[in-house]
Amino acid sequence: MSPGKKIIAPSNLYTAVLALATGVVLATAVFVAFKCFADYGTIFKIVEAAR
Amino acid sequence: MSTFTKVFVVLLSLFSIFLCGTVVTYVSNVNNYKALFEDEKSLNRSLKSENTSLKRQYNEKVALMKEQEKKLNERIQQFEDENSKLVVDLRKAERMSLEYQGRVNSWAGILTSFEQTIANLEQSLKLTQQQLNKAHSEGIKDRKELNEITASFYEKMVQMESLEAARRRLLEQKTDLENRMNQITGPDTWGTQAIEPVTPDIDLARPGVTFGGADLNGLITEVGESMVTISIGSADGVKKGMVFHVTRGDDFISDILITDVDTNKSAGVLDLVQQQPRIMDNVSTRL
Repeated sequence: MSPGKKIIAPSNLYTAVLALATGVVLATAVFVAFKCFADYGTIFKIVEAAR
Repeated sequence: MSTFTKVFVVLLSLFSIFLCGTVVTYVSNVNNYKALFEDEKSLNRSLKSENTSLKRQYNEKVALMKEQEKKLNERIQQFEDENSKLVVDLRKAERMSLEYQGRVNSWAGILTSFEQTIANLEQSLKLTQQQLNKAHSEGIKDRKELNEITASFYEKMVQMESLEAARRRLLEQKTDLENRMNQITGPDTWGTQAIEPVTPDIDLARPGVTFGGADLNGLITEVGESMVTISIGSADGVKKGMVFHVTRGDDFISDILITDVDTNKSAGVLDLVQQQPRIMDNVSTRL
């Protein structure tokens, strides 16, 4: 790819499918993060038992 | 884009979507263990606090129970002591009861013998009373005979005196006749005085005088408030107006003035009462 040229995204079925899959994964990640935060109050930490 | 890449993209997309689907499904259905944990933790805390309070109550109850047990043991010990004392007292009472029962039996035997003795004494008393009555009746008969004999004796005495007086009178008459004969036969009969009989003429033989000093003896048979009845009557020589003296042993009791006279008994009023006369007291005309 030459450095001066604009990247043009190909618009075809496979792109749509990839975009769909990406969207689903992203939504899933968001949902999981939200659920984890709502339930446990944290996303990345392992919840320990409160003494 | 090669075919492999296309296939790989498609497969990747599908499996990604599938994976996301399962993840979403799992995440949405999974238990909120933190909430559960918090719930369980709070429940555990409440249970622990309840357990602590229950333990404290249990300890209090145990202490109370031990205290009550101690008190009850003390009371049991007291009751056992009292029970042993009561058993001792019971044994003692039983022993004394047996002893008293023996005494009662012995007293019953003694009482029975006393009753027998009293019955025998009553029998002997009845016999003695019968003998006394018999002796009394015999005595009355004897006194009656004595009175009759005394009366006849005094009659005889009076007859003797009258005969003596007649004898004296005859002697005097004899002397008088001798003197007259002497006067008639001789002159030396002067100077002598005519002897007059001193003894009075007795024409008829007088009946025997009842001697007032004859002793009459009897017994009191009835006692009233002021009148008494004695065991002798007109057959024994009792007359109205006679005075009997009541004696008991050597003691003077009273006098009886006879007011009513029957054949075998008499009644009179009391006089000079020193003591109350009783039946079977002696009465006599002479003290």
